[in-house]
Amino acid sequence: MSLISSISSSTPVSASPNWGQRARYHLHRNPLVALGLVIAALWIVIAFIAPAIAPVEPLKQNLANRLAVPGELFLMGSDELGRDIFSRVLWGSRITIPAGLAVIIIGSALGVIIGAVAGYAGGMIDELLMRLTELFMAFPFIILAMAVTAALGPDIQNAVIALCVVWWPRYARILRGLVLEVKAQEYVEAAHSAGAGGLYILFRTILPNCIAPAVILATLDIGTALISFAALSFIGLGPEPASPEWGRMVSIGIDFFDQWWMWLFPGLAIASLVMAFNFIGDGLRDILDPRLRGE
Amino acid sequence: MNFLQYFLRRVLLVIPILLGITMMAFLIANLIPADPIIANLPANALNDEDTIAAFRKKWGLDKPLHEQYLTYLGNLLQGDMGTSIKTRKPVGEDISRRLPATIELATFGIILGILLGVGLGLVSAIWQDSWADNLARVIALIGVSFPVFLTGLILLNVLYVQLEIAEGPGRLDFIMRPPPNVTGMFTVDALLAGDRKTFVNAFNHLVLPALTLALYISGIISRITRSSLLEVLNQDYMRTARAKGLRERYVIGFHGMRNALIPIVTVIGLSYGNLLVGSILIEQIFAYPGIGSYTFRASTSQDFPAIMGVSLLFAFIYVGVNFVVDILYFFIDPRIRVA
Repeated sequence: MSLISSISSSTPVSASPNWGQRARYHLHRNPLVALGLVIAALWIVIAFIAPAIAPVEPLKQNLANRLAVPGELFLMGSDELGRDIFSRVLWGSRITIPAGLAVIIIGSALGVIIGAVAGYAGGMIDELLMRLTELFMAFPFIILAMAVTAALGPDIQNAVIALCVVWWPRYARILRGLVLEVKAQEYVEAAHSAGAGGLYILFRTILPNCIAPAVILATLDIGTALISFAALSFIGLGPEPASPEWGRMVSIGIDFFDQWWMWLFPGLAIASLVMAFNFIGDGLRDILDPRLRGE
Repeated sequence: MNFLQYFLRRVLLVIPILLGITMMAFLIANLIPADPIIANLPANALNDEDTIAAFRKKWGLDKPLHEQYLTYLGNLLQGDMGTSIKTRKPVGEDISRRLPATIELATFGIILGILLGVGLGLVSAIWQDSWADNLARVIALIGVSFPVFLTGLILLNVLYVQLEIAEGPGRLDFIMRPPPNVTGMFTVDALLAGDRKTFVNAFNHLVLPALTLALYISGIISRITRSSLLEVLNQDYMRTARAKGLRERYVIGFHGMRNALIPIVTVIGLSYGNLLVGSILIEQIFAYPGIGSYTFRASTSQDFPAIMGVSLLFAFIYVGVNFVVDILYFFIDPRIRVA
């Protein structure tokens, strides 16, 4: 956790007076970050305007033109029911991106709260919450997710819930460590002696000083969340089969292995999106951790 | 602290976690709104009062929850994980028949992944910011960004279908017979039987799925190798090592890698956790009859006893691997012995 502690003790990057210049400097040094930003932005725009730009309705069947080769009629070919793969890939961004972001936001928030309470309360509560965290970490995430979706029924919302259930432990661990660090600072003691209550101190004095590392970790984590969601729906624990979700499209495409366009294009859609976020995250890590810059 | 003390302390820490895992598995199984009797007994036994009564008695279903848990634990200790709804066989038997295939695939994939990952990470760190570094980093990023199912499908399509230089799905060609069963791992069994032809065939069938797994974990490993080695390379003792005239090979190998090893070993241990996800997806694509495809089928058919059996297995493997990693720390990092 050297990265995390180095961030929490140093001043935030945005505090620099000419951060625009610095951003340009870093983007120049890390061209991959720029590339990642462009691809991610492109996908987000696509998610918003997919209904307007998709040539065909994603669910519209065209049985006369089943399994068509990519070409003039269908840019990326058509599937076993004659649906347009290109339109479905565009529409898929409207499922995957919000799902991935929801997992990151809800999962990390849950972890932050649990970790902060554990670190601040200490004693029995800390012990109990941390043992619980360890348990959740030892339990294979896919099984927990399977159990949750088995209990709730497979659909997008439940896949997100399932991923949130397995997402929080890492954040809880890191936050607990940070809270323990910050708790020992003098300004916390000052707040205490000024008569501030426990909850006030935790949420207004301690948490703001721990939140930056959690946000950074969450950014680094977006790619993983997207890929996990795709994996869940690949094994049938996500949206219903007809839905234009990328992981689902790939898993149906396996049955039509020779019609490579059925699995290749949705697969590349996931890969490009995840890669974009990983480029951003990797660059961010380099920029924020000066020890890795070799300067 | 001597080794025995350290070892015993680790063992004591593991026991409550293992108990917790069984408790969690038990609770999940109980929370699922499915009738365990309908779920576990074949349809034709549901009218048979005696069978139902025997099942109730065996799993203690007529007793309060905490006693049910103890019964469950007792059955578990005897290796009884219930009966799979799908295969109608004891889950323990199913698992022990399919596990060797997955272990074979995973071992091969992980060795390949470590070689690839540590190699790429070394190149990256030693020639930082060079074209080699950039290339290695892009390969690593592709490795972690491409979903394993896509990597697998592309490899299968290009190397098997188009170029015909690799073997396709399955563990052996259709016309081949499995070697006499000793370990259940075809390559090992073929070697034991001295059957060269079967060994080569089984090995070739392993290449693509193992490569898929390796590409995925090598991405994670090379990133951590790069960053932890870079951190070490800036240390004073590295300069000292060079100043006293050591060859670069020794400086990096003995002074650098040794100190960079802890995070690398930790990540390798943690990536075992990804193994189950990896094996579910990879075995599905390569029609490979291991634990992964078993899990996939169990999940799609809501075969709950099987799901719980597999999850216990993998949670135990995860705990076991991290236990081994903890033990390795003792040998890698002398500071632990002093603490």
